[in-house]
Amino acid sequence: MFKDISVNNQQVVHRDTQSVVIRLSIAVLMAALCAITIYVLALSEPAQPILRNLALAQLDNTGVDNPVTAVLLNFRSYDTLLEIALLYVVVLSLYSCLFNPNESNLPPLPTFESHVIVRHFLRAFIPLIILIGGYLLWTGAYEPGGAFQAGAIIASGFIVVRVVGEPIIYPPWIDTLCIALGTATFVAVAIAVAFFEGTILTYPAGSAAGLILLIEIAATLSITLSLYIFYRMLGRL
Amino acid sequence: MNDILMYSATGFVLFFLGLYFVAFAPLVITRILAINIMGVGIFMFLVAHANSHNGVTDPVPHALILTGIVVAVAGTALALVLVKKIQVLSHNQNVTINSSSDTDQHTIQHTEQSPNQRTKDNLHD
Amino acid sequence: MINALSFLPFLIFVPIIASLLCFWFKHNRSVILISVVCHSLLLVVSVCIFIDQANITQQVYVLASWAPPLGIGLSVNSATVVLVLLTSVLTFFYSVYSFIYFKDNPKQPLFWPIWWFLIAGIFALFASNDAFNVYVALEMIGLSAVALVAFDGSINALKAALRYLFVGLVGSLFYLMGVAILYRTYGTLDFNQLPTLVDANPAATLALLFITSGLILKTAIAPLHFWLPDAHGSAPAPVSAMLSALVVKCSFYLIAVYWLQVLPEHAPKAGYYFLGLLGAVSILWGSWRAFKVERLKHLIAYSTVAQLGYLFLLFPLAVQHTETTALYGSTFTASMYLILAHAFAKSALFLAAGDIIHQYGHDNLSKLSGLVKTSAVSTFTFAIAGASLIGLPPSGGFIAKWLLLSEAIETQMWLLVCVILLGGLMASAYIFKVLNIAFSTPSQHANHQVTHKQSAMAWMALVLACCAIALGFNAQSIMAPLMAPPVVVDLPSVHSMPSVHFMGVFV
Repeated sequence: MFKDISVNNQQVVHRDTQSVVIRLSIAVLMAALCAITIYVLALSEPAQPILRNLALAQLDNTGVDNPVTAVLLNFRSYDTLLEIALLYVVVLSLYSCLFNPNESNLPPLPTFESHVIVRHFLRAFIPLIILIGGYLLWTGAYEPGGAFQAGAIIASGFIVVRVVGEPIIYPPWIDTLCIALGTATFVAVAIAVAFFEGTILTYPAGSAAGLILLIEIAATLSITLSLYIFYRMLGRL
Repeated sequence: MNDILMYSATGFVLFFLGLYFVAFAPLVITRILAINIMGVGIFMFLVAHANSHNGVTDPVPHALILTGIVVAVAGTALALVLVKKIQVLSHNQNVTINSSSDTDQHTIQHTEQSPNQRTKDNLHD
Repeated sequence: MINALSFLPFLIFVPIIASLLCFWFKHNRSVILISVVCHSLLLVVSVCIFIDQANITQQVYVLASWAPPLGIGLSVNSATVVLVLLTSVLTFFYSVYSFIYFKDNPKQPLFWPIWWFLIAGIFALFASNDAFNVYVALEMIGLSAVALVAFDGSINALKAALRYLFVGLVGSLFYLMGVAILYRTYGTLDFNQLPTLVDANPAATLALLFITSGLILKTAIAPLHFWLPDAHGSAPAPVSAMLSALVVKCSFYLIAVYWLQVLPEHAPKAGYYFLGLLGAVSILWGSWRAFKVERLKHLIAYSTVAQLGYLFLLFPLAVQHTETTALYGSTFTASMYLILAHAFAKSALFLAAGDIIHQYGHDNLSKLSGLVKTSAVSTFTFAIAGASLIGLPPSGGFIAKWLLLSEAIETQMWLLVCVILLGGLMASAYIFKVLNIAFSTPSQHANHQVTHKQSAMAWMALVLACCAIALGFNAQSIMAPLMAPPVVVDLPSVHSMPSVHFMGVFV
């Protein structure tokens, strides 16, 4: 497994009979494993929904009405914090992979003249995308939505702009600030509330909704920019 | 109950299909996709059981899946950049890579041809 | 005295804050300031936790004030207090070493945020008390480790990193599938609650199998070790040391937690023996490959595979004693001691290898003859750290192997006795092979490009090697807390420590 990682599209694969036999037997083995797994699961009963009942019972104390957001940003906020930090470090890892000592910032992607219809369409479309992103962010407190969905939508809007060849110009310090903004805000809130409540990440009564919204806005900015940077880096190579 | 079992069975099938292609796919991009499919299989299994009790949704699996998706995105981005970087580096020079000094692994003789040569070869094919 | 439990979140938050600060303040001097402050904080916190462990191992730090299973808890047990202290001490050494190692590297500002995040991931894993949170911690460790392996930017390093990334992702996905099955079967993710929900459910065994296969892949035990030598061999020296000394131990620790603490009721008895068998195969195969390879760093990496094999002997030995099927007791102490001794010795070896590479520009064993003249300190480090790996007295490795051996004899598992002894012999073979090359006279045109300088890096490696030896001298004080059962209620008498009377010979 993974011994011969080939990155070339033109790779010719020689399949002798032996390797076909090996592959076939492993495929059969995996199918058998899969069948056994499903069979075992069909035999055993799923658990009583302990966590669901607990979560729904405590929902009124979380500051949000959407139970998924409550789990993400209140009950299990620690997971979410680590995961936003993970996204930030992966962006840094990409910078580290593409590091070039001769240039301090990423050079801009090439731009080209897009079709006039596309350009006019975008002009109407982009504000709409940002509006939808903002709506998803706001509505996350009540129904499905939230920072990740909003970030993904807005980033896709940016990528659409790039795909048709229009430039997106902003000063490089925004990159430096926003990559870490979500993590920094989350950590700052986590520690700041500890001074009032004594425990990390415990929102003071009444301020939960505001703090969650603050974290979500910062996280949306970070996620949007991270996803856009993923695209930009892959396009640059 | 039956449809839940069907969804989770599909999840497991996706997981093992992904595993097979991670191990044996010829192209590295297929392997990256296969890893994502493994993840989707797990998410499917989780989300199938989130709805299993009297129609009231369990929010915890949903939150776990959202976290899992972001982790998967991060891993995929890292993998893609590594692949492209390797591709760029191995096109720029003729590289001979000994995957390791280990003889129980295949030694990759990775002599890249120059782009011109390759086009010629393809034409001959 | 303040309850050290409230210090637990510091272990995760201090490195994350350090990562953010190192990202924003890139100047060399500010990075030094940040690192010194954060490392001292971490050391103080881990020492406090270690001292106060009798109080806090029974308690859970409840994050966000939502009691588990709804929220997430942080906790330590008698094993993790030692591992946390070990991590704080070793990462301090690595950071100082990295400053010297990356001194003239223009890429250095990108190293520190990722490095600190890797440290945060390791602490998050040790402190976690929640099955899904462990998955996030595993990914934190996995992805940042991949970025650090690829830090070099050479095509070999990138390929090793890509393979490592695939292995890491597949391993964590297996783990996640296991967690998903656990959640579906028991409805909880809390490590403290899971063992109380025990019933005869085959799905739990299935979950355990998924979790174990994923983690074995990440630990690099014999049939699944193929990725480790390249990844550990291509990384920069301090990263190799971190990966070998701490990162692979994280997944081993998790296997131990699941098999001995969380789901022992569901674990098939044969599974313990199978894990032991894998360990034995790793010892023999890893040592053999270490003897055969041509590059110094690959040799050290294969030796890691072999030493990880010793850790897996814990499982068949533990299942022989009924009372040690938990994270305490004499067999577990032996494994913990092995982790400590191996962490120090292996770090010393990798750091010394880094120094040698800095001087020679390569680590090809056939061209390293006469090493003792050009870098005497590194050669000396290699010799004494190697002594601990082999298990020569009076090193930490000796105590660990003595404990394992006496356990194996006591439980009459003669096959394991043979494997442990044979593994020691093979370890001496590959260590002495390097020393033999180091002391041989170089051929005429062998070392034309050697820069003769005694660097601080070599001395740091020597300090770590001395720590590995020093571990052999105060075994009792280190082991005493590990021997005690975590709950003070009536338990069968703990095994008499074989080392207690033995230590008298050397102290």
